[in-house]
Amino acid sequence: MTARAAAAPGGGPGDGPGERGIPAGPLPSDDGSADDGLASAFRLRPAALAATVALTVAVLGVSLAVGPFRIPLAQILPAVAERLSLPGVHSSLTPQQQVILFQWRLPRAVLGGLVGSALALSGATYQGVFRNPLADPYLLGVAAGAGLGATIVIGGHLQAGWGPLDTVAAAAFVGALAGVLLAAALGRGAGSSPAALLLAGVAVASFLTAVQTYLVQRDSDGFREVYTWILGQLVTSGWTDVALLAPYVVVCGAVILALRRQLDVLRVGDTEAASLGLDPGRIRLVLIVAASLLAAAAVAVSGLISFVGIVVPHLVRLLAGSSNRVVLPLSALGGAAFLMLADLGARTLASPAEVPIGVITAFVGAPFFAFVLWTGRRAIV
Amino acid sequence: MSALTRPLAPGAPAAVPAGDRPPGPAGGQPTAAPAPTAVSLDRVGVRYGRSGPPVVRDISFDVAAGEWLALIGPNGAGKSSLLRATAGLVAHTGTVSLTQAPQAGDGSPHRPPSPRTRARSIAYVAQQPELPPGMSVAEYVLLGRTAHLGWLRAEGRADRRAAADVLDRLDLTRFGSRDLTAMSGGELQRVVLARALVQEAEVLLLDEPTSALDLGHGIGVLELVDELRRDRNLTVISAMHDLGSAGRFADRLALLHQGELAAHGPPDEVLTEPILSRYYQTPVEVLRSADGTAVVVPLRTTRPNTQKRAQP
Repeated sequence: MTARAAAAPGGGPGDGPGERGIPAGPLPSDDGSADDGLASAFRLRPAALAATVALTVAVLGVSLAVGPFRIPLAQILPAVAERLSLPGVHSSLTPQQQVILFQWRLPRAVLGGLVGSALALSGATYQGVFRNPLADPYLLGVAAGAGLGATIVIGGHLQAGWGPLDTVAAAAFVGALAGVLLAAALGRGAGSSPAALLLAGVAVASFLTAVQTYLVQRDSDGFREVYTWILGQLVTSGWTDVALLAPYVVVCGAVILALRRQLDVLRVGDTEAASLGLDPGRIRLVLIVAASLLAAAAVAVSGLISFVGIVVPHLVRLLAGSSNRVVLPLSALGGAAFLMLADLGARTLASPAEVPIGVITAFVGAPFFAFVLWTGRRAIV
Repeated sequence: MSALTRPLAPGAPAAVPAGDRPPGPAGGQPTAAPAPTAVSLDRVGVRYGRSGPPVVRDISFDVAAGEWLALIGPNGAGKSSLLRATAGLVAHTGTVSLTQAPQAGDGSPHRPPSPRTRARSIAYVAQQPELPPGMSVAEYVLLGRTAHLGWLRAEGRADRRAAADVLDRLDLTRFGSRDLTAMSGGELQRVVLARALVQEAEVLLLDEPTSALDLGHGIGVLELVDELRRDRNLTVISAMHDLGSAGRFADRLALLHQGELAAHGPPDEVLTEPILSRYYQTPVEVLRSADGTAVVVPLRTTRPNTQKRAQP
């Protein structure tokens, strides 16, 4: 091990002059030997994590405070504490402010956070699994399937509520999963390589979109409603949608984050990953199922909010590095912040009217998408 | 003859009960201790797709622990496919069995049950390894620990120590935090080798390890593999294009032709003018270098005046 310190003449940034004189002894601590890059390998830097958490919390705070009725930022935390019956805390919010905060803004912000998290995490997962910087669940039939499902229900006037579930959401969820399954079946027939699956997804998406367009054409009455749904919205009353989406985010998010190391191994390709001891097909299957469920659940409650799954992971990669052990958790957090911010814009830019949130995300996302294509090599997966 | 002066199984104990088959090269060295079989191929065949033609047909041979076997043969002979089959990376017929060396008391070959178990015994270096952009050398090398980690576990102290040792051994420590894409060809070949060594497998499979390297770096990598083989008592099987290097470094050569084992034995028995001319379908001349190893010179087929070259 003495050779290790000596073998780095003027090497890495952590190569202090005092380090070379260390006599033979036990291995220096993991954090001490920064010059070989091992201690920092795959590490999510605490500063990056803290910054992302702080950003998410700040966006949440602002989106709770801002709106037609202003709620003082400093009063939000005491109000939440009082609501949770913490002893000794008293909120000075008026009852009206309390209703706005707890019945409208908080559920909507939390829903936005969950949807953004789900879309960004599933986008990052797809990009990792397919080793393609532009992969996205929407590309693999999720969006087209969900759109067709919603169109069938809206066009057929089948809207209804079954308990907490409304039929548009249920149909969108089923349609999204059916789209992915169809793409997977088609891709499997074509050799089940990542490229084949992606191409199958494009074919399935085109076909389902064609069917949807035909249905919309036949029934111009439902056109406006379908169109509104496609653009995406976070209009809620209370916590129903949050309760529907949260279990998917928690369970699928946990599965994906648990497999973040395997996703890093997949970056060397299937053959080499297998030679390293992984079963690439099985890992890919588990990850695709989890990411697709996440996306389908998000789409069911919010409609088609585009570009979150591409913009957020790429921003994270540009700022914090390309290891999936960094990209996945930061995308989940960053997606929440991004969508809460977009929703803030959606409900304040043209107040009292609402701009569809999908318009906001696409307005930011489309130029970014072009930027990624344009700069090419900086888009790293 | 120099290839044969090398001990067959360096580090192997003198009296090891061999398996049920005779190990070592056919007609090998009388003085060498019988070494246990490390890798045993029994009628291995490979075809891609259900209806594709077989690219490897019924190949059987044994490689002793600590031995270096080079697979040679013309393009498309099946060298890479046979390597991948040995590593369990493509579906194949027949069996590939490994025997633990050197304390193979039972000598019984067994089939590795899972990719994970297999990766702990066999490390594979692809001809053109995938180099993920944005990944550092240290991260890449740590991927080699995959087979030693549980499903949900990340690399721990012991894994980083193993990686540090290998980086140090291959003189790569100072490159640890450098991006893979910023490395030169010769350095990259060492990095890829480092990832394979971190696997701590006793069998090392190399697919054309020098194909992207110039003369000096190519020899450097082969010398390194040879040193590591002795240090760690590795068994090496490599697909090789350069016949001179194959003869200089490997203990035995296996010549594949159209997926079949055409010739098999010590370099001097395989690197002969009749054999090479026949299977490479071009006239060759085999010369002797100063150290006695074979130098294979392909002759031009269009101009006859090359015949007047003097014999050494």
